[in-house]
Amino acid sequence: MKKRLFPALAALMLVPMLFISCGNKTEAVTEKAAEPAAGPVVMNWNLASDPKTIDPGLNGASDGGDVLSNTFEGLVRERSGEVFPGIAKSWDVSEDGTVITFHLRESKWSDGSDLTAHDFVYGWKRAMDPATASEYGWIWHYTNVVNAEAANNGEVSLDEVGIRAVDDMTFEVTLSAPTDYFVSLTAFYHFMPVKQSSVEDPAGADGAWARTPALAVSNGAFKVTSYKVGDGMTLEKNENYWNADKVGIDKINVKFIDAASTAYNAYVAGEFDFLSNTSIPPTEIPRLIAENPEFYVFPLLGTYYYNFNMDLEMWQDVRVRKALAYAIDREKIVEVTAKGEVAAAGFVPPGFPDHEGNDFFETAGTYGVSLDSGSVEEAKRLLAEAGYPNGEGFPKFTLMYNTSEGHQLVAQMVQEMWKTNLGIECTLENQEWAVFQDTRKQGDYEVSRGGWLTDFLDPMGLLAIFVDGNDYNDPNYNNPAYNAAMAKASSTYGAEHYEALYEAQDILMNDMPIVPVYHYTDYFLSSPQVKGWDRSMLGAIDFTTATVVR
Amino acid sequence: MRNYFVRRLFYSLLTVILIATVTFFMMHSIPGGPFTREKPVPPEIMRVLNEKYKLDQPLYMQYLDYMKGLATFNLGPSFSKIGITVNELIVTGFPATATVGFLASLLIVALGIPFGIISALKQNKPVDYFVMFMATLGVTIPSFVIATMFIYFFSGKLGWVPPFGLSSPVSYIGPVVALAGYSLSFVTRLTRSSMLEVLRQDYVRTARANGLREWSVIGKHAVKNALIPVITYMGPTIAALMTGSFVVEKIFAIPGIGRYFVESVNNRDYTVIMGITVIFAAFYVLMVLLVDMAYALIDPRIRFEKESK
Amino acid sequence: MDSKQFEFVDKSVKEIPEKMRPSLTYWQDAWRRLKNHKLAMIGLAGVTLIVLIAVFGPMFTTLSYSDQNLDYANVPPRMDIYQLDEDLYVFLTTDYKVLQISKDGHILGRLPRTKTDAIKKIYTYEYEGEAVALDFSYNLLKDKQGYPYDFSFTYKGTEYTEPYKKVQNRTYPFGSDILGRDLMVRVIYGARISLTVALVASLVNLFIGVVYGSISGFEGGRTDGIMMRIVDILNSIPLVLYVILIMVLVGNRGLWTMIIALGSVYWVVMARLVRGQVLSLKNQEFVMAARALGVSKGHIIFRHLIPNALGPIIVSMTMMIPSAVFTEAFIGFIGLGVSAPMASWGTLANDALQGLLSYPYQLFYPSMAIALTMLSFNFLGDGLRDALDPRLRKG
Repeated sequence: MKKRLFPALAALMLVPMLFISCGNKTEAVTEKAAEPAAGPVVMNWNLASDPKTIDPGLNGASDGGDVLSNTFEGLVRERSGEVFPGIAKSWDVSEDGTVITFHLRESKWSDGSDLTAHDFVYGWKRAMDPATASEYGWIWHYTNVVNAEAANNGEVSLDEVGIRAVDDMTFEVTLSAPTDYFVSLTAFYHFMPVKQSSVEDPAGADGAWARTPALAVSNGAFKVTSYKVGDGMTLEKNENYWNADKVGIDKINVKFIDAASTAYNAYVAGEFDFLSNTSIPPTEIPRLIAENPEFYVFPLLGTYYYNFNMDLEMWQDVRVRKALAYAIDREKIVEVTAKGEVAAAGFVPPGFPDHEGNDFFETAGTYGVSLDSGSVEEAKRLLAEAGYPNGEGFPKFTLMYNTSEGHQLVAQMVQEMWKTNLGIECTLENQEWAVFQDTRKQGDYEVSRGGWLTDFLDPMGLLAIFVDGNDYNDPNYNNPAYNAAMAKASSTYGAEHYEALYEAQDILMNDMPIVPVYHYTDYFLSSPQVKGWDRSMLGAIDFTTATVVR
Repeated sequence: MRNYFVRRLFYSLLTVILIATVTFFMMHSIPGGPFTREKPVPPEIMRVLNEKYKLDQPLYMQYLDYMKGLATFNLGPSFSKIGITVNELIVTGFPATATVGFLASLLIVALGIPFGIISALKQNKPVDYFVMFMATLGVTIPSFVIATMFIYFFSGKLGWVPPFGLSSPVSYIGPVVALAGYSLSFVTRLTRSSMLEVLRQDYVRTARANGLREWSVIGKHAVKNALIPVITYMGPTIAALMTGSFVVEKIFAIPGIGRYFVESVNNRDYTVIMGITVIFAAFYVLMVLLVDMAYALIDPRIRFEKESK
Repeated sequence: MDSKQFEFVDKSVKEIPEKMRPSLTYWQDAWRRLKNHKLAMIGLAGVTLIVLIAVFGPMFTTLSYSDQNLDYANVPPRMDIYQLDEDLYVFLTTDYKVLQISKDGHILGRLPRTKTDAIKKIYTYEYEGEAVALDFSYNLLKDKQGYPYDFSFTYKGTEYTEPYKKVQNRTYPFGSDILGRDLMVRVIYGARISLTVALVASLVNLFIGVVYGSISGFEGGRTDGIMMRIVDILNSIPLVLYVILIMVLVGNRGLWTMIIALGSVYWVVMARLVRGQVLSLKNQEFVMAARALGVSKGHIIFRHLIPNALGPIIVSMTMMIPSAVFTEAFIGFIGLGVSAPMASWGTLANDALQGLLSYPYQLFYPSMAIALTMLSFNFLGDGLRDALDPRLRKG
């Protein structure tokens, strides 16, 4: 499959470059021969925020996910979209695709005890148990594991869920329908095993065990050896990890610095070897893309868009909605936001291979929308047809977004484009995040910002939100044909599955209840001294096999 | 004096309780909650969470519960850092915040007052103009700019200080300067103007006419009286500095409690909002009380023993 | 003494013109003295000028605060231009856009980029069908070290490494922002909001802060206790919470809601200061004398106490102007007040922070405007203090 969709950047990554400090271009550093490191190999990493939790079952955020992909390991590991064996060395899928049997390898917890299929059963059941109150419980809806969603809703007992340990080394999952992405999904932090004795230790309640070095028993490449709230943590190599020989780093110093300019300065000064995306000042990015081979951009499986409130009279005419969607110059917008974002004509971002191995995004095409200003004339024509030539008589409306400099920037551009290209005036209004979510959910808006990232490797994860009744169907879009196509997609796999998805997106883009703006990207700054790191398609960074050559 | 102090202490306590009460109900009346998420939390899980954090109880019950906890210095569990109590958050963060705040307060007093006095004594001389110019700059340039520029030059360009944290003594310079900047300028100007005012007073003129030496006039009579507005201003300011600044702690990456003032509201982390508001309020009312005490020490004409009516 | 030295005044003369200066009221006297205060007059002129610019400035600009030209984003006020041909001058922006500039500094257009070679660090742009190659590999690639310049342009086979000259940006005198909007125009429009905020803040300080503080201090006892505890409470509630609450209750109604938010909490520092001053003044002899004479409370407060505390009052009033401007920006960011794309000086400064390292000029101009305003108010305030000082009135 196509792993990286930025050919120029991909090429860049492969070319060995020498380290150039950004602030000081004239000072060249002569490349040192890679000599065996004396003493422990240490890496300094800024995670940018203090995670809410680093307990796999409780976590629901990407910062926690970044830590967990290094401290724990699920049945499989997913790197750049490819699935590798993890604790499961192999797996079989039954004829009808509903029973998946994972064969576990001999492996140990970081405290030296044996890791068995029972630990997985415990971890999974704990995660779906409503009493655990994991924020991520909703994912069970998409797993299709028999009774998992019902158990998560407290409707059936955990004993009736379709998972079991056949023996110590065999873990079996029963699905209600064949699910293409299920195996790759088990790489996700929610499905990692946890050590019962730690979790249930009275001193470790509410995930505190994961932060307490004495209780933080894990099964990944690293273990937590210190944790200071609001400051940082230390990860050290887990000698009991099954693949410990391949682990090249002895110690990772993690910091939680959230001010981008500070973290970036520290990186330039050599205090950090690795910076996650929020640690990089956005205005520096255009320059970094051009000049610095240490800057990496990856697609992130999500889309930035605007919702039309479909319940309102003003948005009833599809020509009006299309006019607004066609009148914006997406290429200009991504040039300003400048993080390598991909202009969006549809809702599914790059990065999903379909049944034939083609990228869904590319196959779907642009639905006749020009990504630059090429569709403006068409937009004007549509608006005139709808009875508002040059925007005359079109009611004024408010574009609402949640408080953030970035959202404000995009909103201002869109506002100006609608004004100059269509003659339509709108005012901008921002609301604080929690208030905004309320407003949006209640449909108390005319146009509102939306952003959606998926957590599993299937376009379903994106398109499903516009099905009638979905909690995140903010435009309150309801087209029976779309609902039917999505229902078909969720019960099929292979070619049928993808055809249904292509059809669904066709319907969606023909109805245009949203204005797609761009697809998100993820980016890092990584010192050339750090080699061998990888990244999951879903965004988690993976240092398992990385090393640092000083 | 002692009776007054005890009585005032009681009122201060009452004020803190009142502040906690107002904040509590205000916080619960704004939309959103600690479990508002972009991805929908399943209803059953929401129910469990609400039950666990007692958010399913009527508001007055939650209030009584919180106040009960407060009385025993138990500030409850944090919502946004699960498994960590607010007490822990404050205990780990407060020392760093307080150290920087204390140093900043010290800097303000040690520089602001002398500069203000010198400026007043040399009114309309170059020294005065220079000090006033710096003070103007100090209030106009916001702390985030001072902080960002400081890091850029002294850490980025020159490499004299570590780029973040409080790992070495020199790393305190940036946060302290950025934190003190505005108040330092304010105090300098306030001292100067107050000093000028006092120097025009009859008793200073009398003291001078009596042939007292200049330094004695200034030291004994003028400065003391000129300090009243400065002390008034410094009291609450010290309380604010000691509990930290969101901006300065964020930019210098100081693991303190100042950041929670904004973060906790954004996260609707109820217990943390309450915790730091109470901490700030306690500091604040205490400083206000000390200021009122100081008035009486400086100016014997100000008396508090009896209510004036 | 010779009586002839005296003569009778003509009886028709009823009134003898006294050789006295005309009796002036308090305010006339103050104005007279203010006029003689040089710095105060400079301050007054400054305030007048800034107000005039804010009110009439927008009439003289062709662009509006919201007009964008994304092609001309982030162009600084001074540019190093390169001459590539007789009549072709170009400028390279920090984010690798190549703009065509006229010799005297007008931006004429953007050259489209036709080829991107990220490995050799050569970008190719096009001008009237001819390629303009930008090679920025110098001092960046391993084999291109030690050059005195970081990039060069190649046009029609000639390489240009030295800038032709530095020109003033005539299209955007203060430069342009991240969306290619004219910063000067935005600063002029921003003046309207920020001056309103400064004015409101000062008035709130004066009318609520001063009056509240002096009453509290003068009354003393229980009244003082209660009034000051109210101040304590107002001062301790987190501002963010308060602003969100207002937003939810009244919604965002533009500048007015912002003024309500700012006005209702902004005067507490002033109230405390004035109270402190009044406490120390109220037992002084002149106040006792006034009391003994049976002068009313109001008269004592407004005629005796407040004028004697003017120094700290005026200093705090002017010193708090910048903080009011920045508080407005903070409140605006949360969502109360004028909404984007309209921007105040505080908002402009805040927006510039992100790009501070790359585009410092974006912070410079709004900050400068704030500083000049504060300085003008400061000078004027100092003069006013002297002019209104009851003690100086005698002399």
